[in-house]
Amino acid sequence: MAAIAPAHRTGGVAQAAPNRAPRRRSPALRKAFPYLLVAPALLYLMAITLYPGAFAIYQSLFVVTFKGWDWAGIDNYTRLLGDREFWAALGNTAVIGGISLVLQTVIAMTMAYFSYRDPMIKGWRIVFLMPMLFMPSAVAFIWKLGFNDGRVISDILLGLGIVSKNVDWLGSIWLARLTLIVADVWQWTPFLFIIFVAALQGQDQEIEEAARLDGASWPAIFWNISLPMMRPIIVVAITLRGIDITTMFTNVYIMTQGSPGGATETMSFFIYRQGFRMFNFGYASAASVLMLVMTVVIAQTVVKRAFHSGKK
Amino acid sequence: MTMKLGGLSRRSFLRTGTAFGLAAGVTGLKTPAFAQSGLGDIQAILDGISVEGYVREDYRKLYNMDNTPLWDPAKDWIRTVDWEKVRSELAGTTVRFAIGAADQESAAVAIAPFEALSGIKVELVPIPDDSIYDKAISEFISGNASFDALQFFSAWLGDFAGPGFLAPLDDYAAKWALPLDDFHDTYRLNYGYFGGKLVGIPFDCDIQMVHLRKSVLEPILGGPIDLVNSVPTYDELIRITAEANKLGGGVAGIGLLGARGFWSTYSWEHIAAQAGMQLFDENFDPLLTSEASMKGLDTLLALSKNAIEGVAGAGWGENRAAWLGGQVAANISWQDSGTQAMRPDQSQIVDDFVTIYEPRIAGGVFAPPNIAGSTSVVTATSQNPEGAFLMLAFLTTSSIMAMNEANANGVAPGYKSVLTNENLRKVSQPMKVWSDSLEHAWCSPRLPGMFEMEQALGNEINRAITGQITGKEALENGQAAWKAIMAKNGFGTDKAPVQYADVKAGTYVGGGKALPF
Repeated sequence: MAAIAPAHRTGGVAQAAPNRAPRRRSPALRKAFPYLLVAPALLYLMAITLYPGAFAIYQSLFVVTFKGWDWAGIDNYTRLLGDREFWAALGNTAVIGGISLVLQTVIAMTMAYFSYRDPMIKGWRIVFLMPMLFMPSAVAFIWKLGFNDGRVISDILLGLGIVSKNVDWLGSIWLARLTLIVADVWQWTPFLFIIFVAALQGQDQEIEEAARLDGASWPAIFWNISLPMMRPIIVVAITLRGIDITTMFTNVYIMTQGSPGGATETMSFFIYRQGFRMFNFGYASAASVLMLVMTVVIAQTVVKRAFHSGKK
Repeated sequence: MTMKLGGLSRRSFLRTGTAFGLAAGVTGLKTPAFAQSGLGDIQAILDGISVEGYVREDYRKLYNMDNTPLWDPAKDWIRTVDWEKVRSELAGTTVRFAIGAADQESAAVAIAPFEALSGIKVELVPIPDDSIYDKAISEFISGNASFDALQFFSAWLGDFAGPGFLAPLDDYAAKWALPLDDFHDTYRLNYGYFGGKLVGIPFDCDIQMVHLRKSVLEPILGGPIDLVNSVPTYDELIRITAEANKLGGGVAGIGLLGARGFWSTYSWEHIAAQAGMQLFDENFDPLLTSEASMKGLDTLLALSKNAIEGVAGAGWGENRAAWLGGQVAANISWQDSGTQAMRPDQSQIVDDFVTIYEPRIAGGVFAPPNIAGSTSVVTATSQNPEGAFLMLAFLTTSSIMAMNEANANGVAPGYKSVLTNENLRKVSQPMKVWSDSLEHAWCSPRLPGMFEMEQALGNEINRAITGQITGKEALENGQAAWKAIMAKNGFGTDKAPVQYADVKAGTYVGGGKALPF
């Protein structure tokens, strides 16, 4: 600051001031200066992330009723570990999220591989991106209409002769899960697609050309050259998408409400239901904390292993 | 240092400001008198609260409604209260009314004549509809609620009244002669009283009923539908909805609320009440595994087999859409399904349906269920509880409630004098059966934790509906959950938030009465 002060005072034009020694800050101020620079960002982060997080951890140690907070220690956590609905929600999140993530990755990669060399890709990339740009709640309502209320998909299947009567999408565990998977894949495959296209376009084409000249087929080139080179990007993209899927809420809230019988209740919906429908705020906080810990651990492990093995 | 503000020194500014503030403060004591001077003519304002002024023009034309009242003016509180007295005591004061954001505009329209009549200013505090409970609870717990009055889902009454968040209204009701006796007992007792004290004024007075499509079911029944005898039992309802289900053509046998949470509980309560089910014994021990409870659930599970696809996710919205859209032959839902189905702008089944008396179950009772609904309350921390009470009394007065029903907007009247009004019955198909049914209504008590309990049980019933567990397991699981929730809320201890004797009368009001048919 001292060095630029003269320029600042003269309207940006640095003028020599030979007779004036540069102003020096006190050692304490110099030490504090970096912290002062990051303080606004830190305060912002604390207000919107750290404080609520710490508050959730604190609240998870209490039974919160309308009359007040009663100390519970780790009781909420031990109850959670014995709660069938908690484990079911965890399982549902893994099943729905896992299948959805695999499908999205495969579809996005396939589409990306066959289209990234297209010179027109920049023009029609936006078409692929469109589902991602729609409001998630609106998308969920449309799929809800399609599957349930409006019977659109049933009518199409009936018309095609694939089914003989209307399909009760919420009447079966796997059909209900399928509706969520379809909605999620439709909306979020473009996210992975666009990343994969960018990764493929960023690769050194000479390596691919060399392989081709050596007689490698396109599957061999993809499997042995493109895919390994994309590994870090794939891992990061899948991790981001995985974290997002772990918190899947909108589609569940709008399309199934966890039906049938909790078979589509994800962790986020379980926490919401405990907190805002059953009013077990301490219990919901404990579930949130557990979910956060699990997400961080899994994400860290995946990223660490992927990059570590990449180095090897 | 001397700061200059437009030629005024800081000191002189403060001095002038203080003098102005003192003067304003003293004259402010006289504000009610000033406020009164600008208020309009009471009779003219009351005359404006009429069918022509409030009921939709298209509905007035459709049903040839003239300006004849749809209520009994002698029992319409706004026409009996002394507005001059209200003005002299409360004009110039303010009431803050918390309301769901979606209702803000309509409430503002309804509030305008109240402000003109009373001189009380009403500030609406819109709250996102999904967070009324959380917002209200957090404000109540803080001990400094930013609103004086609140309208909410009546199932929450125990949660709000139990900890003492609500102001007692008995004195105001007596002072301003609120016609509490005109409310059907089931609403007065369950939406109004908690622990023997009046804490709420019934707002949206609901009942669940059974509605049938004539074009689908009359051929199955072999003739025109008789309101009492065509479907006298739930066994018969199961039979005809199964028959209807086989017909195809995009019409399923029955629509009902089968979604997780309280929706499924409501459907079960509806049917089990006809089997004679009571939720608690006199020690507040849950009776979910009783024979009547089980019979109710068996019946619900049998009906769900004839239900429209998606029933396991059907709440009010989905069920209403299926019924009004003509996708089901029968429907178990609220009475407004029978009013809204009459309105061509809301329904595709106008003139093709009828609402019947509740089917019976052998060994049970005739106990049509008062389920859900909403009530209106004054907060214990209100700065203007009397003004808030008067505003709520205005909004729930019989004329406005009657016109809500004529508008088929889903806000239902609970007044005997309104539900027996012949003019209103002409524009509300279910009203005769509905009114008769209320004399025998069943209702779950509004206990602290009841909403949570109904959620927990509904999740289990939903699992039974989708075949994941048996009905018996669902009720056993529900019973265990209820016991835990009740223990958490202090039941079973000497600190129980409410005594069974205080709620017993409201749970079934039909004891010893002759059937209406």
